[in-house]
Amino acid sequence: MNRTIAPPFKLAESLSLVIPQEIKLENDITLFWMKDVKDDSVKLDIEWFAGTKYQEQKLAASFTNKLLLLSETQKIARAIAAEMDFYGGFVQDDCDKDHAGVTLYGLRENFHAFFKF
Amino acid sequence: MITYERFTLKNGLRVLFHKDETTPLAVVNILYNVGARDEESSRTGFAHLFEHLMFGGSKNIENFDNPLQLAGGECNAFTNNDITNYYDTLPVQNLETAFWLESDRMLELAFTPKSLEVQRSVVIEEFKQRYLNQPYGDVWLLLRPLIYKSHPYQWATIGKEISHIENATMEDVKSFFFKYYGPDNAVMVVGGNTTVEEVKKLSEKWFGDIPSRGANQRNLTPEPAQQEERELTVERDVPSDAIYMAFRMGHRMMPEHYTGDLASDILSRGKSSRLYDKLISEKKLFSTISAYISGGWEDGLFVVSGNLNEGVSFETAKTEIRNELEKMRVDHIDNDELIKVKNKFKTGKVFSEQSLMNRVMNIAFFEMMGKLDELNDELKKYDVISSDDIRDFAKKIFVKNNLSTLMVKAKK
Repeated sequence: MNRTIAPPFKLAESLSLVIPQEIKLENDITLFWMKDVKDDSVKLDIEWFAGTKYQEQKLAASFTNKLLLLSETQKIARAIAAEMDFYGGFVQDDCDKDHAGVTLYGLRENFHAFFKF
Repeated sequence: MITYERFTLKNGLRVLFHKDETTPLAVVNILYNVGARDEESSRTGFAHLFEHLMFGGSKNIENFDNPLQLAGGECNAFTNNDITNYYDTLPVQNLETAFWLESDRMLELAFTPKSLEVQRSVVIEEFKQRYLNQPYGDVWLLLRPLIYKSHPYQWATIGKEISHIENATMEDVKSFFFKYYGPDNAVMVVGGNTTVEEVKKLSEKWFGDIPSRGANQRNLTPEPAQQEERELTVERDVPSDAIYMAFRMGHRMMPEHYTGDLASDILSRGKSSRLYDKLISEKKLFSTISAYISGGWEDGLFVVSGNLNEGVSFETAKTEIRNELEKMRVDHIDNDELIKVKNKFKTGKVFSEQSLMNRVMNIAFFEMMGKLDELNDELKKYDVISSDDIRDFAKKIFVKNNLSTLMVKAKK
């Protein structure tokens, strides 16, 4: 065997991507559902057209986005964090020039609880 | 559940195959049974330097990265105090490229003076950039020798001092390679949409003729139990005061590892955790705070570290952390709090195992630890932990004589 010679290789001829199903909700929100992911996890991304290019004051976009999970009319930050943690959920917020949004990660068995938020 | 099939080549190389039909990519992971714990105290940083040298060309192949990238692949590696791990990801139809490359560098490195010189410079720069010139970069260079007085865990993977890397000779490097980089001192795991027959065929073809060099028979003396509280205060050019409180605990293979992990989650995982809720949100003493375990294979650490807010003294910080640890020693843990951290762990595990790479690495680590039969038992091990178990753990571990504290004071 001559180890100086590389084995032959070939590039991929096609790629199969997971294509989301697009569902229009009654209130006009578009839901993209990646239903072909087969495990016990659920990831929910909520995106708004609320990035920094829409802000009139510096930091307004990111502060607003962060405040989304700090309190709401029924619950204070501590209660939201406690419930989110209890169900094993994780939260991430993102803000760029175009979009602002939050991502919730959790298990399929507990995810119904996250929709309350 | 992570499935696998296992076989061993005549030269002692352990090979495991994990099938995944859902991805067009394959992963080849080779875990070598050598880490910074195997170094001599006068020549530290070698395991990590060696990780770099492994990308500097092998006996028959001048460059590791280019052929892999041509085949659509990428690679990386990491070293810690216990092991050194190399991994390649590439399209499954090009799996043989990874076998060709990995087997040639296991057979023999090129050992060129140029490669040694280049990688020595790279590692020295890494030492300066990440450990000496970065705020809080030298924390573990200071904390490790405070905790460990005789065990090799007293130095970090990067090494004790730059001179050890500067003085590395070609003879040192060759001797390290032939001592630790043999097939019988490694575990290879292949994951992807192929068959165990194909993996066997490729393993025999490319790794079968590499001679055995002997498995690493380490006989390290355990660090004696700590008998007194230790403290060190240093002043550094950092943005805020920081504290690191480290308690010795059991190693990765002990049940204590799992109890300690849950205890650390109760203290600091998520915004409803005890330290975050009490010391950041309510009392506003810290800007960051976390609790975590080291998971060392020889000896474990339970660490609480945090950055103090302006005007908060180290004395207050220590007292407040101790108060929270004391509650864990005395109070019953509410069932909901225990369910919460178990749920958090489960979510993290499910997401982590989405990645083929993580599954493959887990198989390699469990095989190397000699615990492969327990690979899929992790959830059960966390599930059975009770409030009493955590209280017993806290009573045993959170005691003064088992504590080493480093305080990094910000220069005014």
